[in-house]
Amino acid sequence: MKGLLLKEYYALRPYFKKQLLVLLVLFVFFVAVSSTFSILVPMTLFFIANLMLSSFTMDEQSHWDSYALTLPVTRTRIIVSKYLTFFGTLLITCCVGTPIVCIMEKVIFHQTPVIPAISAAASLLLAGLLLCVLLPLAVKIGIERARIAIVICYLLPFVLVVLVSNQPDAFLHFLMPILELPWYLLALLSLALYLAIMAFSVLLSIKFYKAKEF
Amino acid sequence: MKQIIEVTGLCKQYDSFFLDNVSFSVPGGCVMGLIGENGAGKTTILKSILGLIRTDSGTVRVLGKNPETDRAEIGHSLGVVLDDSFFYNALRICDISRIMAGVHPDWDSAFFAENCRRFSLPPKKPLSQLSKGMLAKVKILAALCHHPRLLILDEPTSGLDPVVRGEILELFWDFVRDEEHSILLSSHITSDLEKIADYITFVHNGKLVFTKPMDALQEEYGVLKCRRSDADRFPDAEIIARRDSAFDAELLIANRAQLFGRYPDAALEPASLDDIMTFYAKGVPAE
Repeated sequence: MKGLLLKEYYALRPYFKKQLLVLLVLFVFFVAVSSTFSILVPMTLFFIANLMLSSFTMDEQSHWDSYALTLPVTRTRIIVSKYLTFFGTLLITCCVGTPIVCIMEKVIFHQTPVIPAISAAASLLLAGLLLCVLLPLAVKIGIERARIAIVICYLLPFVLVVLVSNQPDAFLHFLMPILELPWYLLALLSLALYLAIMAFSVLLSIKFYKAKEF
Repeated sequence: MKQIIEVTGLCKQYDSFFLDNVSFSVPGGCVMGLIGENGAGKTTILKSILGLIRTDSGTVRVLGKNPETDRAEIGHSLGVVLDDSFFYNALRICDISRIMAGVHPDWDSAFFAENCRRFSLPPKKPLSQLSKGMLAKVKILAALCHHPRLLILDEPTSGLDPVVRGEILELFWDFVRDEEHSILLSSHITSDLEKIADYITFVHNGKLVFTKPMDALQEEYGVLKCRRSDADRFPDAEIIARRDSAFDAELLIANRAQLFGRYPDAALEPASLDDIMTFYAKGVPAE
């Protein structure tokens, strides 16, 4: 497993370095326009999620899977290493970036750090959910054919926001029984649901990968 | 002698190709060359042995295990070079050593570094900046440096100059010096196989033609050259195929040793692997 994780890191390292400059320019622009740092962590997380998907492109270009399967690794481990890399990177980015952004928000703009923290947490959940959908798709049909699905997945949150804002009463009526639950129960249920979705995504990716021939 | 690889009744159907009932074994402590023209089924055979594809029927055993279900156990004792598959080309040579150390418990980083120095391979250079010869050496070192028992090599010297090919063959000779080690080598460069292989397995149009010791091939197979009009006057020749030109005929025969000296006005030469393949691919089979 260690070798597979290292392979993901070494393969993506040059891309991180190249994209850092682009990210910095975008940071400066958005902070200047919005006068808040709360967009930074969400933007970084989606940037990273997109970058992670590039690892599939690299694997396809180098026909890595054929070679990997001659090593003493199972197909399950190869998939699990992908998920660990993707979700681990998102988590580390969120854990490192959120305190920095909260402090900067408080010190520079004298605003509450709660909003950046909430937006970072929500973005982490959303980026994770997107990867849960996209990873099995990329494994099944390849990253090039999955790109259309990737675009749709990125648009889905915005579509959801539009739907909710058009029909706020209907959604509130649907959500009310859930929102009336104690907060700790709500948090536990949400976490359980998230973990269940993630587990399902991993198992589906493993199933698809085991069926593939190289 | 223990069989390192056992292929029995291997069948695999694709849309326009059928690998038909291929059976052969690779004995321990030897080098087996796998030859055949493009599209003959060599890569399909190798992929079945490596567990990369599922077979329609037949069995494959590598080191006594099933390559489809016992991936991890076989992988520890196996080193592989594939023609078009390797690490992503942005990785550096030193990155590959670290990755392989994380994959193989027996990875020998010192041996890898020593051979990188021996072959003047710069550790911090990415694969994309290496020459073809350097990349071939890196692939082979990646296959060798966990001290496997078996090497499976698909076109490891393709596109390389004779000097580099010689260096790589030396690595293979060092590997099989210990009789516990074996190599299955698929290559179009038959001159390399003639130097190093102990056995040859020849596949043609999805079918196994023969598996024979190299010594026997060099002793038995020959090319008999004569005038076209004389081609039928060799009743005791075991003719496999013939190729005719305007005035001459060439016959691939399988009992050269027996015919030696019997027909002084016909030229009888040992058949190279190239000759054998060409006769099977382009010649007219004997009736």
